[in-house]
Amino acid sequence: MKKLTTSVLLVVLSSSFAVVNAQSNDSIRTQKIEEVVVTGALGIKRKPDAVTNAQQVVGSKELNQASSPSAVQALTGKVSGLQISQVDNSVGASSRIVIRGSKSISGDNQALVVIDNVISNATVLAQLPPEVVENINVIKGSQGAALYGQQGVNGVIIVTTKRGSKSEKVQFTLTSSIEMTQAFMFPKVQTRYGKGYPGGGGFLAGDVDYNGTTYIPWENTSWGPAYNAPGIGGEMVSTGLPQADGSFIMEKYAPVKDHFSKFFKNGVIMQNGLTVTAGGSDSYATLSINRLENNFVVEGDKLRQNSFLLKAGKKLDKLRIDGTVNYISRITNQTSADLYNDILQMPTMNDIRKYRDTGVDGFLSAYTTNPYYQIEHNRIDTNRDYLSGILALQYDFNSNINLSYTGNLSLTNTRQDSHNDGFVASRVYENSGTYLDGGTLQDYNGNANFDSYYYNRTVSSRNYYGDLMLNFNYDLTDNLNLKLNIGNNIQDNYQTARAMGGTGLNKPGWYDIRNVNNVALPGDSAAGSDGLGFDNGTYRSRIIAGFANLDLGYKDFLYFNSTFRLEESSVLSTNYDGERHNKPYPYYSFGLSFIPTKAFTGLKGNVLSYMKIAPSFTRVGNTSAVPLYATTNVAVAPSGFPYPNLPGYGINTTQTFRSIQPEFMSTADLNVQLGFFNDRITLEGSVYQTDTDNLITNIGASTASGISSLRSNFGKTRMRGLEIDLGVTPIRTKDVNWNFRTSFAKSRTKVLELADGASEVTLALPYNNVGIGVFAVKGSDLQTIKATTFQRDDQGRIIVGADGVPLQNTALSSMGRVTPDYTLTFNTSFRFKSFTLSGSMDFRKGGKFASLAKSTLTFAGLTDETDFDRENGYVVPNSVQLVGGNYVTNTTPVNGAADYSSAAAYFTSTSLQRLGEPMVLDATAFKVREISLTYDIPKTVLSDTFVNSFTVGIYARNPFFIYAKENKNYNDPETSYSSGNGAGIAITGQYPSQRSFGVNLKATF
Amino acid sequence: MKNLKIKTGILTVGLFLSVVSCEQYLDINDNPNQVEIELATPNELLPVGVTKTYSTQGRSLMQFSSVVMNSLAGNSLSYGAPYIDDYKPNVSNTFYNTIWDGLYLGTANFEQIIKYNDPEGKYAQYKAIAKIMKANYIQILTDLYGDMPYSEAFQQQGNLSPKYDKGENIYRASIKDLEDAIAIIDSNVGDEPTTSDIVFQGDMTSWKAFANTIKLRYLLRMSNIPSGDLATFRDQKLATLSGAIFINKDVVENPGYNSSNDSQQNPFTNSFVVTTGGSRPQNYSYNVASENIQIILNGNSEGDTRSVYQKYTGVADGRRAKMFNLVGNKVVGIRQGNLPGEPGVPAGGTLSRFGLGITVGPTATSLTIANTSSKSGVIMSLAESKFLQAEAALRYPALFSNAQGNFTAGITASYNYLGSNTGTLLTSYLTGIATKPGLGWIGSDSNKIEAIMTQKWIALTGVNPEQSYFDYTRTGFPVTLSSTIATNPKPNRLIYPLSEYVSNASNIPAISNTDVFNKNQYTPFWARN
Repeated sequence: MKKLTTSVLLVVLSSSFAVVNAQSNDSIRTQKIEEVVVTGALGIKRKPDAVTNAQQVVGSKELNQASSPSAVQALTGKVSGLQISQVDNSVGASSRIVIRGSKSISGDNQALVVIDNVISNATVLAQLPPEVVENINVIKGSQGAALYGQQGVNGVIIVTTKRGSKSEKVQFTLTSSIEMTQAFMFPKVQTRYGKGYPGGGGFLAGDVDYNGTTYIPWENTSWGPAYNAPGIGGEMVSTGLPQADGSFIMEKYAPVKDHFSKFFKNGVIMQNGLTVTAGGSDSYATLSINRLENNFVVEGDKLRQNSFLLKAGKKLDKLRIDGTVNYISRITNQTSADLYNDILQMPTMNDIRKYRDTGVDGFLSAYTTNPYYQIEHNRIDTNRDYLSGILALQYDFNSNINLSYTGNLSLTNTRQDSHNDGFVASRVYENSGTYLDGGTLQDYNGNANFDSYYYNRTVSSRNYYGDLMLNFNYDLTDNLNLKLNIGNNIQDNYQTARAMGGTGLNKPGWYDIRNVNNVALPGDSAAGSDGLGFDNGTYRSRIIAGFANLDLGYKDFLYFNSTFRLEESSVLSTNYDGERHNKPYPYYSFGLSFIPTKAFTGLKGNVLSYMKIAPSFTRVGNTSAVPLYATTNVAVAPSGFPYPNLPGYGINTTQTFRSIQPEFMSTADLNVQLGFFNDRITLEGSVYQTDTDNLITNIGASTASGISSLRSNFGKTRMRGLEIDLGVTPIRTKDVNWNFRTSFAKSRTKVLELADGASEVTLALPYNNVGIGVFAVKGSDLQTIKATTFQRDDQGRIIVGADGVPLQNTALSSMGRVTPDYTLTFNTSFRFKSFTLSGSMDFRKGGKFASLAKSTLTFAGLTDETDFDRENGYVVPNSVQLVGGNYVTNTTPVNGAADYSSAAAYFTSTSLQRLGEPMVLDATAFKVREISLTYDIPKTVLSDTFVNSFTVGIYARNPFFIYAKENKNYNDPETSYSSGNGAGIAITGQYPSQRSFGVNLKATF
Repeated sequence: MKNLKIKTGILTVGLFLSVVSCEQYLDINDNPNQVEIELATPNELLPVGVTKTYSTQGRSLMQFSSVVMNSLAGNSLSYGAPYIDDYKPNVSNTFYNTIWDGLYLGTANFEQIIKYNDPEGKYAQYKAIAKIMKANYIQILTDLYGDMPYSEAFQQQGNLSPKYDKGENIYRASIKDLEDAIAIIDSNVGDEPTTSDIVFQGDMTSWKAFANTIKLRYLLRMSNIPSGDLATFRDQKLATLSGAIFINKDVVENPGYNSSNDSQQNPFTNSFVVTTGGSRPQNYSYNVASENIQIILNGNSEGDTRSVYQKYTGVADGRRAKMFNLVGNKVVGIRQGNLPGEPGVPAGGTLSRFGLGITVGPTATSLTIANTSSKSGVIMSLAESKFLQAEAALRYPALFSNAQGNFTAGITASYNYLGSNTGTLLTSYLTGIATKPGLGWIGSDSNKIEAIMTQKWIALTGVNPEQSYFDYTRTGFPVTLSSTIATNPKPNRLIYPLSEYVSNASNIPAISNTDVFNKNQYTPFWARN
């Protein structure tokens, strides 16, 4: 056993070298399973045999096969049970990382991110250049993360960056990629009817009636004449608002193909990196420099990122020192994504490019703002600096005991400037012959002007993380090995946020607080007309914990692991009745790993080459649902206060119970791994159940109580699921190698109990007057979409009133759950001599999401639902009316008249826009995430050059998506207006998905 | 090994102990960014309660009441089919649901003052003021929603789903609150408020008069109850008001509204007139004068033949220039429910919107962002007080007197508020209406009730139109046309809000959306007869 200790160390060092050959044998298990070493929680390394829970390692080559600029997105579709959803599609977008499923209603369900043994976060991971990552170990089972206590309750993603070479010769690695991105998956729209609205009001000379509607040049909706209407179909017509001389831009009254796409350009992403490593037998040093440039598909949106990573280590006799310094600087310039809402309403006849220079008062519509104007005048600039230093020390007392310390201090500083020049309509329309003449756009619309504003926000944080561990490694007998780690963990987070700004810029173009006329009060958290919040505050939290980890190994086939952690967090500390109240909470876990093929030598054969059974049990708590300082019942100075010389405080309408406790999650997990035919076929299955009790939820209170919600411990949920991973290597020869891996994952969380009298908890209700929301429903799923619905009879037919307009239900009805029925992933890699073709794709079936874009498109008359013979009015399909106590088939057109304007009035009515049912769509989606083809220039060609290896490749990311039939590209089912638990509702200010095609190269010398 | 064992033993214990002795290190959870609610004193809570409740009264309640009483219409020239839900009407739990939420959450601050732990009675006068303000808004709430939480309400964390009380019991309890408040004021205990009283600046006599006026309003609302306990109760309480002093000025609140930023503007201004940056909010372009008020204020100058307008013929209202901006010297509005091309909708051009008297004040000659942002919010107008007294004298002549004098005073107060009492505008209007039953003080008692309600509606337009809506539900006056697309009559109440269905579903009465159009057990108790 003593030998094993040292050989483990060696294997660790060798597997982290930046050598091309070794990387082809990473996560797709082509080699014997037990030769890889896995880094677990707190940096404790184990053989895969000794791992007692489900986890999966993704290696550097698979991570980088399609040169994704973000390590988080590079993981998408590669690990079963790991769901990465891109929350929005803007430049510098954020993601939501969930392992297996959501268990908590109000708590954070996202996985913990650990980078080089210190706790970090997903934002840093998204900005870490994937090139510096050695491997990522996704620990799916709770037992593997139990050492992290409450922060590990949702699983852990352990990222190890590249270390360095042992060779004394300096090695250089150069990587470079360039790709073109384009927006795609635009909503499918009807092309039968075009711009206009019934009722005239356009030209003073009169507007021609086309079967009940009129063409209005500056209308934003498509309730106008048909494209084949005689007299206008195919003709050149005046369109948009009048230009400066009273004339109009002329366009043909016919649909423009793919008219949404005309606004977007092809973006370009370039990534370049250089890594220099050198080392010796007991030391190493690595420097990695990377630069990312992203010119987005929207003009003027761009991102620049520079990162530097310096790692060095040396072993001096008994002391080992490793240090890491990481600096990442990210600069983003963008406009507001709300402009997409204006683009969505655009009629199909307009080519938006013609309106680039017309400004707001010459745009194609009087009711939407020119996006080109917004690009020029509405800007958000963000600078983010991240500096992190890690010091790892290890002192060996002797060969059995060592003391190790890992400490990390990270500083993050984000500065953001956001401004809008506003708009005041000043041009008086003349000689256009329309109702606009004699006034400005503001006189006509009353809503065209908008305020200018400027906001400056700074968020600084300083985080400290420190682990001090005493590690023991003894061979108790020849067959029994004991490893014990005892340690202490301290974390300290300190963050300050400052914001200043206001509306009304005095001198145009000067974006500074001194130029703001109406300065927002520092305490006014509702300020921030740009929708980005307004926060002035100081936030501090600390955690102290003691922990212990025990690993027992019997021979080489039976392993036992147990962890214990006693943790106290400042977030639960309260002060009342003159006393402080807080207490530590214990968390523990047990896991067993049994390898029958090694225990019973007869079992292992040519067919079954490996079998491992690993059950485990974990009990961990979670306080992430308790926001900082929530337990103090504060007085709130409402918006507007203090007035000059008048302070004022009011009740806090969203309170937290002062004796709140953490949520507790108990997980039982069984993981089985099988290898067949010398591990040419591997099959892994995990089945798990997590019961969460003491669930922290926000109960919506009746506002008659004086508050609108209370957060306390009510409720229980149960998550159950399974994952099956199948890996096959059909061909493995010197020249040809083909392997693929496919997985099936299913996870369902049910809400078992809530507070007395509560039948559901609101997770997300984006608008209080639109009937759509995500709720945790008792007896049903944790994330259920509920919406206001049409009233239906017992045969499912819509009930309409006497005027033919459907009746709506007051209460929200459940429309289904957000989480999918199941997800499948497929990853493959095919190598022929020096060519490698790899691909990654996934499929999610079922689940529902809400698309607010569909509601906007229906209002504008662009969806397929609005494609009917409008001149004959609209009779709601499959509808009935209550006549004399019975439901009879309905023949009344909406609003009582069989004409175009009654139909248009129905579809544009606020009550239909606010109805949730039509927005809910099937979230089934098939996405091909990555395809790449690389060529390794053979060593023989390079042997007499200074280049050691050279790989060149072409790749595509997101080349191909298919959505459910009813989702005509209205929204990507993955997007959401929130990265919190209310995911499932996509609002209109989110750009369409993007795909990219590029080339990359990698050279070492 | 022994040494090692001791060393490891010490280290282990040390590491674990570090967890236990860390109370101090972790004791950083007091919020440095905010103050605790126990430290908020009544003088800090009072302006918050007043501004929050007015913010709902002056915005969503103003909008609902103006449309249902046909003084405003949706601008169908710019917006396709506006106000469909108001015009049908389609009442549901998302129809103006923010009125309930806003008023309850605002009133909770008054309750916090009433419950404030004050053993020495230093804040007794504040508690009296809080009771009066609470009674004012509770009446508006129960007049809109009928039965609702009251006795179990406002307990915050103590009761998240309070039970519903009957409207009549809420009336009784509120009237008692008003009487208790008057007793506290009379007792003179405690400090007199100063700047934190943003309504009367500490003038407790005015508070007492305001309390009497609210009490009178409660009791007059019950005028239709023919007999029984409630009728006896009402008559008893009315007797206590005989000879009482009622409020003699407009009850307005102003914490120091100004134009330095949007959140410090008068909320009515921010929603209906202009923002501090100079742009027009959505409600500005969306709302215009209705054809109904156009015909009425213009004195039916176009000769509309519909019967409801006949009594106005020949009497142009002298206030119209201050109530709405005139176009070609007339009010120009849109007929509710009609679209461009249909009757009652002008072909184009400017429409009338709220004028300087409503958006700024009596002496203003033009609108600036500063003067409209700093306008005070009206909680109750003098005109309303006078009309209440006129109605009381008409219905209960044994207890109250000077019905006609108060009627005229009400009209005068409205002219003064708007700044229209110049030249002969007021006197010629009074002369003109004197011969019109249902508009002036002439004819039968029923005519006079109609006249009071009609004049009250005109006076309260843009000020407190909700009171006219309650008058209409109770008396049927002023006769108000529905929109042209109406398929239901006007509702006699609103449906409980979405937030109640989400969080307090087990206590809500089983009301359906159509119940609001008939008289039944869900109708406010004072309108069931």
